[in-house]
Amino acid sequence: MRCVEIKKLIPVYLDGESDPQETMAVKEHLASCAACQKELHALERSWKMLGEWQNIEPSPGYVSRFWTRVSLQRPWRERVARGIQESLEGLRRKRLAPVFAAVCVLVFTGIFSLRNYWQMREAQDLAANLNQEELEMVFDHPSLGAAEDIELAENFDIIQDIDFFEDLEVIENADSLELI
Amino acid sequence: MLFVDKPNPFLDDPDVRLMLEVQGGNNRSFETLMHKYYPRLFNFIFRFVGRREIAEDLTQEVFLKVYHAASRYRPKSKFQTWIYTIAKNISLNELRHHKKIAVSLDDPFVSDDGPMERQIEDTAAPRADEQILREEAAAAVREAIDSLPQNQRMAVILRRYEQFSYEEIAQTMRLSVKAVKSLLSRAKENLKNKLTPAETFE
Repeated sequence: MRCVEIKKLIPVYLDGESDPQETMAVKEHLASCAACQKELHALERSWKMLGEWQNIEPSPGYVSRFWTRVSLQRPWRERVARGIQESLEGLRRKRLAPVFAAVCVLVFTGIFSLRNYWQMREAQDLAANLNQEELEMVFDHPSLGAAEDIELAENFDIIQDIDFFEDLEVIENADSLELI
Repeated sequence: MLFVDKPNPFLDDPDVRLMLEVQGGNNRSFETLMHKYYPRLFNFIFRFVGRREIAEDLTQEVFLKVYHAASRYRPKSKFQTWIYTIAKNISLNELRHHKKIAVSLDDPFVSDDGPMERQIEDTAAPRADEQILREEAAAAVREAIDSLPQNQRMAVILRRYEQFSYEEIAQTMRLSVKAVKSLLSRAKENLKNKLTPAETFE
């Protein structure tokens, strides 16, 4: 292999994560190439230098702060639940339940229609900016559930940063991995 | 024998077992997990988002998510992979909403001894040369890591500071091992270029 190819393998070789074939190729090449040896030492040095950014301690009392946050969340939920229960009770007493139900149906229908409309608009806007392949990655991927769609969208920054075709292939196959 | 369920391999993970105890209502087990993971996750998030106070808040959010998910928890991965994935998503979300949280030169530089202002010259209390050099090196490292694209930065932090294997990075970042190799290869090359002064490059 030529130096250009070996230099690409050295960073992973240094982590001991190369395939056996690659490891062999790098070792053989290094034995007789001073330039690649320098590259290896420079990579080793800068990687070691990262150790200068040491860990810091979180502020003390994080456990008690956590339980305080948990206890602050709970009354809020209970308050909302109680509020809804009391309103429903009031409506029942005044025999307004049918009116309330009708209003609910109208409101939900309205929200649903608006949501559909905006989703359609968003899809049109997006379609105008994406090619077919890219569209398939974000819309109606047959094997993705709703939660995974959100995950994929959340990871969109990662997708944006990728510039190797092999990475893109990997991203396309990412749905075969199930982690959580 | 045909209908015997395969044993769940993740039940061997002691942290998964602790999480199942949390599901059963044991808050002590949750605190055990907090003591084990909180400082690590705090540093992971801090290195990624760059601000201490934001890292404190986001670390709390990670544990709130874990705590509230306890009732629905089913072990489908190692606990570590799961909690780092949550931390990764929360951090990415934070950066998306606040764009890049730029590291200002006016920001106090946080070292192991606590925050300290960057000093151009410190004649009142001269420190050992070595100490100053180390602080400069730490600042340079921080800037170099900050300048990496988000996915390279994430992979570097997981590898260098969390000692994750490539397989663990792949699972946490939802990439293949091949993609992780490619990411880390480019990241290491970038870091080498930023941290090796041209004149001393041997």
